Amino acid sequence: MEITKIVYIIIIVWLGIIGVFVLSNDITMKTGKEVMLKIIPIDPRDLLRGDYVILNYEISSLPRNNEYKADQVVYAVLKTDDKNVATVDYIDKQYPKNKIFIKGIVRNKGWNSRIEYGIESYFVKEKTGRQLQNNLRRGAHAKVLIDKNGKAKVKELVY
Amino acid sequence: MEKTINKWLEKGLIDKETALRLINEAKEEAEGLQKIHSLIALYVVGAVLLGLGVISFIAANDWILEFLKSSDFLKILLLSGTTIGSFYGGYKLAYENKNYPRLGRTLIFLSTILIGATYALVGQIYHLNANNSFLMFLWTASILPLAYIFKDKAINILSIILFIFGVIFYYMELSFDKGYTWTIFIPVILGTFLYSLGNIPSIQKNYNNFSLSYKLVGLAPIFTTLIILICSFKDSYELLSLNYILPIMFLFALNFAIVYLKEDKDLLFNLEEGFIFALLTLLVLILTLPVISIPLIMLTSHLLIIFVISTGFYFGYKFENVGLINSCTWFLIIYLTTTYCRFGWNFMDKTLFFILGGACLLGLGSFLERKKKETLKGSKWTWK
Repeated sequence: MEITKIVYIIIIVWLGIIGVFVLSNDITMKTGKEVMLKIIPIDPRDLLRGDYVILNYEISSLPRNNEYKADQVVYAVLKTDDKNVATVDYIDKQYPKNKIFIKGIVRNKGWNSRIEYGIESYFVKEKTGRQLQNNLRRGAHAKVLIDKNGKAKVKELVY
Repeated sequence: MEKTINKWLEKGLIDKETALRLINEAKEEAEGLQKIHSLIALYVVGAVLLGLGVISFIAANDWILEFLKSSDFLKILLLSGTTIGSFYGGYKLAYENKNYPRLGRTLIFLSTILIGATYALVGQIYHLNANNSFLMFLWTASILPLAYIFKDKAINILSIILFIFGVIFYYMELSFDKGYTWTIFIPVILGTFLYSLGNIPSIQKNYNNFSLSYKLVGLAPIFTTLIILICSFKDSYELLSLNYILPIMFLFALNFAIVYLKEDKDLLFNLEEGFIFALLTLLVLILTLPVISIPLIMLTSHLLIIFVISTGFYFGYKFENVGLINSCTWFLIIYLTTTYCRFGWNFMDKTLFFILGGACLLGLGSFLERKKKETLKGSKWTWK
């Protein structure tokens, strides 16, 4: 194949990857149902993307002796109160129907068992991570959008 | 070069005028090469700085992004445009118009950094989990074709680095926090995989530079693990998770395929493949058996290290490859020092331990230097 054609193919593939990446996340942001989740933050820094806050959710905790295997996919079915703050109703191994739920993966590291939902990082402006962390310690919630497949995205932090 | 030409002149192979012309041409060529090298260095440093600038610009998430905050789409469009522009512009300059080949290749290299920065920006906008292996693997897969299409060593090395980070992040994300994942499993898997890539017949034949990079980068973690194994490990890991077993099985299959596909199997190839199979078998035994013999594993690790070093020296001198000889010298020094400390510390008086160790290393250094000089005397490496 001619090298120019390969160059065009690479450009199309790159743009395609960026497009799919943006669209798949944007759909969740546009169509997702909004709930509030209580958070407990810690502050680190990402090499590529700068300051971010690790968000540890109340709904992430699992009892130490639980029935789930490490790296197993689970669905946390949520219930909300009158302020739209969500808590876990129950955890299902099967895909729940007609419910609000978040898809997660069980992580067992030593004594620490928890569910990871893919919404544990929140990127902020450089040098503002520590300040935000202090603000969040006073009690905060994450406004999260969840689509029908259980994929969640953080919209904003409320404190 | 001048010495060689003078020898030709003394032997009457060439006349004085030809000798003078050859010396002048050689000097001009050397000066030209020096200029080109400094130019390449300028381009590469410039590209790396630009790439780092863009990445830190994204990492800063600061005033310029704030200025553009009206639209995330605009930010992504801006960076994607710069990436594609750098890639296409580089291609035009280096391969289509061919008027600025080095600048063009540097711009292509820059685009391989920028595409990763674009992915990172999208990840940042949507708050995707930080340090994820997916981003690294996606970045690697996006730039690897460029390395092969343009036969570009720098892009290939960048892809190796990204791949290594991807594997590390992947195992960080899984539910493992055991030390042996990092000291035994990952280094051996990564090293063996990279080394095996270097032995794939089509890569060896068409991309010899890449093959050497894969092998050199692959050998370092393997050697580190073997050194760890001769020092300490627990008697059993009993690890039967698919996340460990599948990569090992894949590597066995890959190397069977390489042996099957290789047409002209020389001694070096047979030794390399034998070493890889022995290493993978050792890894399977360490990770899966309920009871393992510590002395047997230590002895096997010693033998494998001695095998690597002696094979490296043998072929280094045979092919007059200074790089390989130097690497093996370093491996030998590390191995001897580790073994000496491991066994000598408890059995010797401390003064004797240091004096004897120091004297042995100095003696060995002088012997190796003399041997290297003797072997490489008069070869192309002595004057190039």
